[in-house]
Amino acid sequence: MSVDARSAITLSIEVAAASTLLSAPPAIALGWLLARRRFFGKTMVSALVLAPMVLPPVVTGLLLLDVFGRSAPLGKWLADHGMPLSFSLAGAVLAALVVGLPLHVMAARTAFEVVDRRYEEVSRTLGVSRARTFLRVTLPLALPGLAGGAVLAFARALGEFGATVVLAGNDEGKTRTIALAVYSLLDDPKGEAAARALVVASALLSVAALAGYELFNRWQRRRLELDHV
Amino acid sequence: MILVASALAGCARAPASDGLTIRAAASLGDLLPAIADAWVAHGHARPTIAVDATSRVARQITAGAPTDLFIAADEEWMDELARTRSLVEDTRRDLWGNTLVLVTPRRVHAPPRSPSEIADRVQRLALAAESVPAGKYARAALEKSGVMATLAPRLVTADNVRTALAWAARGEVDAAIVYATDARAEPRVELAFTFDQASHAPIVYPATVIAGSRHVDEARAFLAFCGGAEGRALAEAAGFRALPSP
Repeated sequence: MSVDARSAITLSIEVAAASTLLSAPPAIALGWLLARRRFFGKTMVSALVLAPMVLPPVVTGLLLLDVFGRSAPLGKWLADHGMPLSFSLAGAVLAALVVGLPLHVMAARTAFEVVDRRYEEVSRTLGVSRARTFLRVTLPLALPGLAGGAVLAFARALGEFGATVVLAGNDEGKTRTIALAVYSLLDDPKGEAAARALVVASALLSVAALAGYELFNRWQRRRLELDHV
Repeated sequence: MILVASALAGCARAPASDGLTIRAAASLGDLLPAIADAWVAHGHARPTIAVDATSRVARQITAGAPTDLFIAADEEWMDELARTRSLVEDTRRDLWGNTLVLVTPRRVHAPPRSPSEIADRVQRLALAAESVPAGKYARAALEKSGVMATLAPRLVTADNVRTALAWAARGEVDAAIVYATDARAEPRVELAFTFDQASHAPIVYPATVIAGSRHVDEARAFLAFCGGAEGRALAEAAGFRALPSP
């Protein structure tokens, strides 16, 4: 069997980057809502968003297939309009997005929670609108935490396996990311050496992502301390 | 504390039955328990049966998982195992044969009736991964029929043959290439056609006793039972071909 290691690595990075970018707006919105608002069904919303973190990924994949598969009304409609989600790159991105979103939302929620509300109040008393206060005060203060969340979601997306293999399949150059490539190679009597190379690549990527997270963390602490001086 | 400790101790104790431990290919998941029932009816201890993709089972055995009998879905993994862990060589024999078929979801109106018709009627074709026996046979059959070049972009690779079958059953794909025995086990798919036996390597299930087994004689007896009249009848009822004893 030939597994293209380079294609797996590129694909992993593309899928993780796309899913992280796409999850940023909902993660920021949900994080802010959960941190700053009380509303009916808040526990429910929080549980639903976080569920993919504790559900077995294969179960998440099957649920996604139930909603976005071609045999489901929504999935069929999307496929008919040129956006097939099962067995496509888009499906791999969706799977990565759904499993990465909880980490992104949790980090965003914490990032908003640690922003001192007095800054916002000062801004408001100076006559700055709510939206402008959010953009000029809250968001910059929360930025390091939000970036850290994005890095965590990216790292989780890199490692995604279970939901992807069920929703998107294991196709070279299309949905076969590092995790799926390593798994395929383990099924091959002669695949062990190639698997090792991918394991090294995967470890390097993950460590780099987590180092990035640590950097953002320090940035956040520095910023908050400076702001308190 | 004591409760936890005693509970853990309870888990650590191996099941008391002193029957055989059989590790086998996933596609035998229905047949082996049926044969085991008959075996138990003859007064033997009930065997423990663990099935998974042949590749994964082989890896478990290589890694030292206690095993008396191994039944694979292709020869390559059996050879690989012979290299890494010793087998009781004179017990190795091919037990059953299987056939490769194309299935479609039940509601399909005009299913393809031969490999050359696949291109016109199938947009997404599911098969097992390249390294899984079922995936190897399927790819070989498409190559040999000369339709691989056309179909390559439409292939959807499943983790194992049962996943490919499930995708067809759900209507996620237009067709799947699976074993005849899988097609029988899933009521939501319809058999479209059987691939020519000459288009792929013969699909056989080699079995062997693993060296170091504490039940070599019983394992031999079980193999003989599988190849005997009762075992053959059960295998044929499930859609396998019973192979002549060596």
